[in-house]
Amino acid sequence: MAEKLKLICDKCKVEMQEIEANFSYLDRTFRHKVNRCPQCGQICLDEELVTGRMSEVESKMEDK
Amino acid sequence: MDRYFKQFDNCLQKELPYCGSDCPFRMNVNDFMDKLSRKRYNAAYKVFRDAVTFPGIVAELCPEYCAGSCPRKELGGAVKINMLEKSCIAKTKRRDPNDYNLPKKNGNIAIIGAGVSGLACALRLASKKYTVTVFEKAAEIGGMLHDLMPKEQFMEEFDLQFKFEEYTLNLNTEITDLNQLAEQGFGAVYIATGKDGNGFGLLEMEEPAAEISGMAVFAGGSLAGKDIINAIADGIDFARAIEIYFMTNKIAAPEPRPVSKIQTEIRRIPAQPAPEASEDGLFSEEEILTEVDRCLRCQCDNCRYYCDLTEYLNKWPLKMRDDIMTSTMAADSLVHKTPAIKLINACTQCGLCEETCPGNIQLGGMIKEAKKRLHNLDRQPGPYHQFWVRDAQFANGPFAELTRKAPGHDTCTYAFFPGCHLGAADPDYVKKSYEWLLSVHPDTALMLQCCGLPVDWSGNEAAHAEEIDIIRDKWQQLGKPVLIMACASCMKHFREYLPEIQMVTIYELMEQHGMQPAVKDETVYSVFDPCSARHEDDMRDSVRVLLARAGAGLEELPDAEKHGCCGYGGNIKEANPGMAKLTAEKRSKMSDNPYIVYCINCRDVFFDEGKPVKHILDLMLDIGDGDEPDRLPTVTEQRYNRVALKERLLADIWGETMENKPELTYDLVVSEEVRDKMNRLRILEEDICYTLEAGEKYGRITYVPDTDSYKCYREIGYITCWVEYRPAGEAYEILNLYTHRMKIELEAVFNGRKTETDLR
Repeated sequence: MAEKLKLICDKCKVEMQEIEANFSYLDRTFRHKVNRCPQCGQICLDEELVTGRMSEVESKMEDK
Repeated sequence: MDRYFKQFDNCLQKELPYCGSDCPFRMNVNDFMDKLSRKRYNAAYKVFRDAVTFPGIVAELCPEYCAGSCPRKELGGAVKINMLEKSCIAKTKRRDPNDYNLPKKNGNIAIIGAGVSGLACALRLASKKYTVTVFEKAAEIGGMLHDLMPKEQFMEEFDLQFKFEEYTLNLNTEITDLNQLAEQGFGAVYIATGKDGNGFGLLEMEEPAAEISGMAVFAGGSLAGKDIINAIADGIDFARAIEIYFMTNKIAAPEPRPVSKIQTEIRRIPAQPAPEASEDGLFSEEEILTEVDRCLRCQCDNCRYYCDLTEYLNKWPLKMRDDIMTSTMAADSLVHKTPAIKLINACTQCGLCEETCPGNIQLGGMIKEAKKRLHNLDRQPGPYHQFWVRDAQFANGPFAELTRKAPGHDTCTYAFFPGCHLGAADPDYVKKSYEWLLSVHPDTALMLQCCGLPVDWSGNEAAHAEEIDIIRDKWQQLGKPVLIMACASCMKHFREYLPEIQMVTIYELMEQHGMQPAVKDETVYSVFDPCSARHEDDMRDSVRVLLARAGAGLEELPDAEKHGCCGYGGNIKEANPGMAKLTAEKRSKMSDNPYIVYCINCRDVFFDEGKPVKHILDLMLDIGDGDEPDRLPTVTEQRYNRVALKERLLADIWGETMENKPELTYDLVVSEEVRDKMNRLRILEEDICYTLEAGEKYGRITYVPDTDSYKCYREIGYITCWVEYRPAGEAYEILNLYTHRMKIELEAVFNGRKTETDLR
């Protein structure tokens, strides 16, 4: 499979990089490396992450 | 909450089964059976021994008190517990008692009589490491056992059970005066001198426990007229009384063993006789399993049988209660655990728990209360109920809500309250119903809106109270008409919160006015009564009459009055899709017949399950002109239906044009696949436009070179929605969408630049 092309921040027209970002849910916060624009901090989450790991963590938080 | 907590005092979950209750030792028969069923003979033996002290003797002599109350009695004969005990002993490899390494305890006890009662007492106390001395006037121990079984057999049992315990035995020593013992420094005495023995005056007292010469003196066993088995049980009970004396200085005869309050429902169990014992008069391994299998393990399990939630979570209500209490502790408590958030949001509020619980425990009520507490403590996950609360707001908003008196009438006797979902499913349900109502009661007003139930289910008490107040105000302004209901859930909700409103259902009116169904249908149906109509007998009966008028056959569902919710109740789909699925599947499978329903939510659930289903109004009003829908309207279409309903009612009934209509900011191109996904995620076209707007507004757009498309996101209340799209001329082609509950916390300053963090 061909390697995925890098995502581009439409505002800054630069390639996105894996940079940590903060997330919060039910009074708890986490940090995770996601695609971000190195200039403006714009975030792009892919569906795999959202429906996979993220959904798992959400579910765990709810019954902690 | 405390009120509900207290109700659990009535829980019968831990009550002994009937047999255990009749057993002088109150043996935990269910535990014994469970261990046998797993062929754990050593463990089963231990349960037996812990209850009776001398298993070898009790198994031999017990007349099976338990058999009299066994519900199996009429269904193939009582379970042969005694034979199971004997067979268990034969199969047990490790019969040695436990050798406890405990420190010696202060307490010097004299036991008068080395019969089986005295020795049972001695063994119990010796194993607790008290100093025990037994006095026997005869030259050997055993007392009346000599008349009942071979000496070697019981001596072997005594040797085995006393293997690790020390006690002093004085044979040929008759005690005639208790002062003798007081002088020797004993603190407590158990008199078990057997039938016609010396009771030292204790039996004439109010209870066989007294302080004599500074000692606590007790008397029991055959001396007190007990049979051999009860005499052993007495020995065990008095050992406990003596222990209590040493710990608390309180001298009292043991409390009578409790009588179990167990209640069970015997549900369709085939009669089955016990197997014959084939191994030297004992059960073989296979026979043990057959017999153990015959045991019903009597236990009050109505909650486990009727309540879907206990099944889904595989939890007993007592455990659920503890989890709920933990999760709803006050904010300043030291406990910060919330193990029951999903549980609390998985209850369909069908109310079957409290109706089938012999202890009248309102588990559903507790869960509802807990939901309110969670909301007030800000622990309720926002995404759980957001969609339905917003949906209710829309139904009560300017595009869908309509409260009107009938055209040309200033007063009204009736007002039609169809509920918000009926018109969302198909505007014709409401429009045709209202037109018919006007034909029979021309002054019937209309109240088109949501009853507020989704807000109640969300736990937001304050918002719900506001909704109720608004409805009460509108009803009062209409002149307090009788409400004509079409939805049993709205009706149950009003009965609870607006008891002053008098209600009747449209089905009853259709029946009373002799309305003939628009469609003739000879299919044999089963009527699925919504859980909210469990006590609405008039409504239930009318639906059946209407069905018969259509020419259809009716086969009632088994346990028609004792089934739970279809899975819609409580709006649990977001919090616990698994629970919603479980209930939907279970209810779908109650009969192979197609269902007739009279709650549109039940209709939707069964339709999604692939169960053939019709609303009774489909027959009465010929909705869809005889065509079966191939799919249900999406969440977006439901809103459009509500708007269309209002528009058509205004136009056709009141001759008005509806000016104010919702409009989308963008033209969207949506494939069927994406439409289905939007529906599944409960995302509206309006939400998509709102998200696209954010892209433009904040410039937060990502270009995806792989697919030559763009992605943007926005927070929609408590969820974040991602949209992947491609401009298509003036419109936007929506390629994909997904949502999450976590919030992206953007930094106020990133890379030295100030950023916009609020993307709502």
